[in-house]
Amino acid sequence: MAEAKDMGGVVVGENMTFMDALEKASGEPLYLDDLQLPGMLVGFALRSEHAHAEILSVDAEAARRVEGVAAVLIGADLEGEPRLTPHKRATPLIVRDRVIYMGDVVALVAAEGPDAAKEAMRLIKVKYKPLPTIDDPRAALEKDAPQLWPEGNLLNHGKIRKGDVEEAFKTADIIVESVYRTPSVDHLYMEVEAGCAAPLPGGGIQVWCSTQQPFLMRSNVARVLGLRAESDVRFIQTLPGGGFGGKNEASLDVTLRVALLARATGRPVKLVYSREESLIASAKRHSSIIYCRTGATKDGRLVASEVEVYLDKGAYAASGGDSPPAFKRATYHSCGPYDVPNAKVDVYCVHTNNPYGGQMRGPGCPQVHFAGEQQMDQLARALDIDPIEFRRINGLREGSRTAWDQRLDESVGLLETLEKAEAASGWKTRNGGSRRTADGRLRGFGVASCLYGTGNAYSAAEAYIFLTSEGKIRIAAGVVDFGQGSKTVLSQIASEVLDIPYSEFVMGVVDTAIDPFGGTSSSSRVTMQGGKAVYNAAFKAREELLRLGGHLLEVDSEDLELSGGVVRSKGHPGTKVSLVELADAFVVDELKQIGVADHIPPASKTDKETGLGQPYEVYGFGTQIAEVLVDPDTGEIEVAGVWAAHDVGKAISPMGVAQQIEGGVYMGLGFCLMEEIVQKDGRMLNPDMHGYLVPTSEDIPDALESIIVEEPYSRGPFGAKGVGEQVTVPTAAAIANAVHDALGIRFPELPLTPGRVAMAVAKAKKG
Amino acid sequence: MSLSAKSVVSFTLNGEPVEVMVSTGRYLVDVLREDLSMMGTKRSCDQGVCGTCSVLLNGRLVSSCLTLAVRAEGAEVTTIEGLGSLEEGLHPLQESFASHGATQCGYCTPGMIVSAVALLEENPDPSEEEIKHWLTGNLCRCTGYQKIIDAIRAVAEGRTEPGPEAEVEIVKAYEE
Repeated sequence: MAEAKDMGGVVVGENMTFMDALEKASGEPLYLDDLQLPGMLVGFALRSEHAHAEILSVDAEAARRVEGVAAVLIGADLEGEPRLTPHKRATPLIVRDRVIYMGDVVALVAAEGPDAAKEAMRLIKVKYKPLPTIDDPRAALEKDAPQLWPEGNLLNHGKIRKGDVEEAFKTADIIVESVYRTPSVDHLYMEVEAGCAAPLPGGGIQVWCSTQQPFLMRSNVARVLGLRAESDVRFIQTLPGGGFGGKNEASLDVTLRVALLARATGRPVKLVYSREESLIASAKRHSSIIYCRTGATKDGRLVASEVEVYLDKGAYAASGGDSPPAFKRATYHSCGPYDVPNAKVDVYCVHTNNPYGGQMRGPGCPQVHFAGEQQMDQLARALDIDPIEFRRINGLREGSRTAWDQRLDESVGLLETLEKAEAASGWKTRNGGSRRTADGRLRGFGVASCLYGTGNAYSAAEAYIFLTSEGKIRIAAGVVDFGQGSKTVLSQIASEVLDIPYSEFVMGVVDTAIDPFGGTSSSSRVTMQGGKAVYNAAFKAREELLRLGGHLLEVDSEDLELSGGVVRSKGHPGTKVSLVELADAFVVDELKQIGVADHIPPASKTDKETGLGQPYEVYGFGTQIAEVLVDPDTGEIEVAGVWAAHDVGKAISPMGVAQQIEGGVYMGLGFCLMEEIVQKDGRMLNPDMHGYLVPTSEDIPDALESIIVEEPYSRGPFGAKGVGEQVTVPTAAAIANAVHDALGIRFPELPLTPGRVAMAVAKAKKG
Repeated sequence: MSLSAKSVVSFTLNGEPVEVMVSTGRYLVDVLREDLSMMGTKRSCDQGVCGTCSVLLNGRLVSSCLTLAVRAEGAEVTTIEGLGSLEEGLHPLQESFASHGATQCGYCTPGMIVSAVALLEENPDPSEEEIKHWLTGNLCRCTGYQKIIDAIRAVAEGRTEPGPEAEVEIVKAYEE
């Protein structure tokens, strides 16, 4: 195996045009809604009319008689109350007794066309007895709050207990206390949730869905239909039109429901949610209330951090069950990338009648960084220390122990990101410039850093490498490329190991009949963990190609080498065989497996009482500096520049990393300035794209500079450790700190809409 | 006229004459996708905000989710399929989007490229500001728009490959 310092260099580290980019630009690839199967029915879901109500009766008789309707399913038609996951608080596929959010489904319809289906939905009579709702996670913990679950509204409570914060606060020269709030936001992937299922002869089923997690779909379809996953269920992924973490739970939701309809009708069914349904029903970034108390000494050293976080879990427990990713991440990221000797963290994940909180790009982390990085800013200002210097003093470095007492032995690039972002932004000189621009706006600069635990505990991955009948190399790693470019990156890794040109690689979508289990395309893990499995499999494939070459050339494979995609004799370079010749000789059918390997990352180990230990194997680090121009009269904020430096271990594809940084900053900017699911008593007030605003091309910074820092990680392929999520984590905090720099006003609540900003300015003027 | 009344609509689709029987209330996006199997035009918001269903109607950019199919009578309709294909060669904007990394999930891409075609038709040498202003009717959730803007600028400059603006600073800490 290569050493950690084998950093590639031939293909790894080069910008390859993404494998499917030309195809996507042609408009030719099919997404789920583009599938048309013979005899296919369309599915529809009837949603609840209340955020909390008892279901008194459901009458579907008239609906069933509508011409063209193939099936109407209500809760009473299903055995038990099958749910999204085996967790007892997971979403029921069809609710029988009590709805607890507006996205709950009370009936499913399959029909020949949308007109018949809609007529059937209109005729389904549901009688409800409305019940009181609860929409605030803090209030949901009070005794007299409506109880959504028999065991109460608390899903879980996460803790960190390190040192003695009370004693430590006595030694602090300055203590800052604040309360922050962040709203629920939506992924707003451009492609809504969509699934398709077709019964197979013999009782099996074939399922297609736009998802980030194919094997989760397969195992749960098997569970719900009472089938064997490996023999009776074939799952083929379609290209996801965006995911951002959302196409885990929400994909499961549409997949399982369409599978129920296919079984009920015995025909292929397609189920595509409307945009309104997508907004009302799908997982959201958890809204949060965050209490912070942070202390430091005069010389700028942090002494203690106390954080209490309330995450709105919404109606149901989704993936991750009792310990959803946002919950665990909020716990372990709330002290930031700093050396905090005494820490007390409490994270409460609480049910309400809102849409369920799920995974969204860096689950839990933009929230706690929005709070924590403003705490850092407040402390630095109170102590009259430059905010970058303050972070440098306290920043984690090699050999540091984290707030959860994990020793960081390698790949800690925080200080480098601070230095590079500072230099690129011209922080020192700009900060001395004039605050007021010619048009009367106020200029400000802000900085925020972050860390991000890469991968999940259950992140084992496997990879196969095939020789195709055309003499190409095909990788099957079971992980979804939803635009982040994993097909390209995984092929680059194998190309580098095998010394076979990148142009010889092909890759398809994940098909459970071909692919091994690769885990989910989330938690920034695909390059680091899926990529490591591919890296390992490539060494096996090299051995196999040499063995096959030896067989064909009738020489000992020990005397052969693989270079430039050709197997040749070390002593007699003229004695050689190409991949096409090997394929002609040995690939009987379409694919011959030439390499298989797995990668089993270190387990997550934390103490149940104190939370101390190793929640993640390694961390990404980043620093973003934002420049804003604020109009004090209208409250409008223009983000003029963002300088983003991120430590990704190794950039297998620098262009791919830059894409992630640009897209991540964009998403963080939306989170900061405008995105908000507005809801009252469990009802969403803006369930469409007119009401739910996201940044357009005019909202992005004029200056956006991506800087890649490479602090290699020995277990990652060529040192890589992932990038997709950390890039969106510090943005909102950096902008909020810049707005404070411009106006002298601290905004503890998101989003920073013009109305909110203008009101605060007016209030400050009044004094 | 009732919304379910049917009428025959004839128009030119990507240079080919087509004739379809449609209900008066149906939108062009649905007729393109469901009746004519032109799947490159995508649906997303269904209310004319996001631009994924962008097509050209007599050279003008429209949201096909807000355009009744009967409006296409006698018109020339151009969809992404009409700009180029993998088999017969792609439009420079399609090549430029690919080489600039301006496609990620790819779902907004057809509408975005159709929109860019309309822009360059109207303004062959748009500034970055003008491109940004034009694209506000096309949402993308993946890219943060910069690479899309760069891809369009490149074509305006007569190239499809990325220029120096695509360079990223890489700090190789392991070499220091």
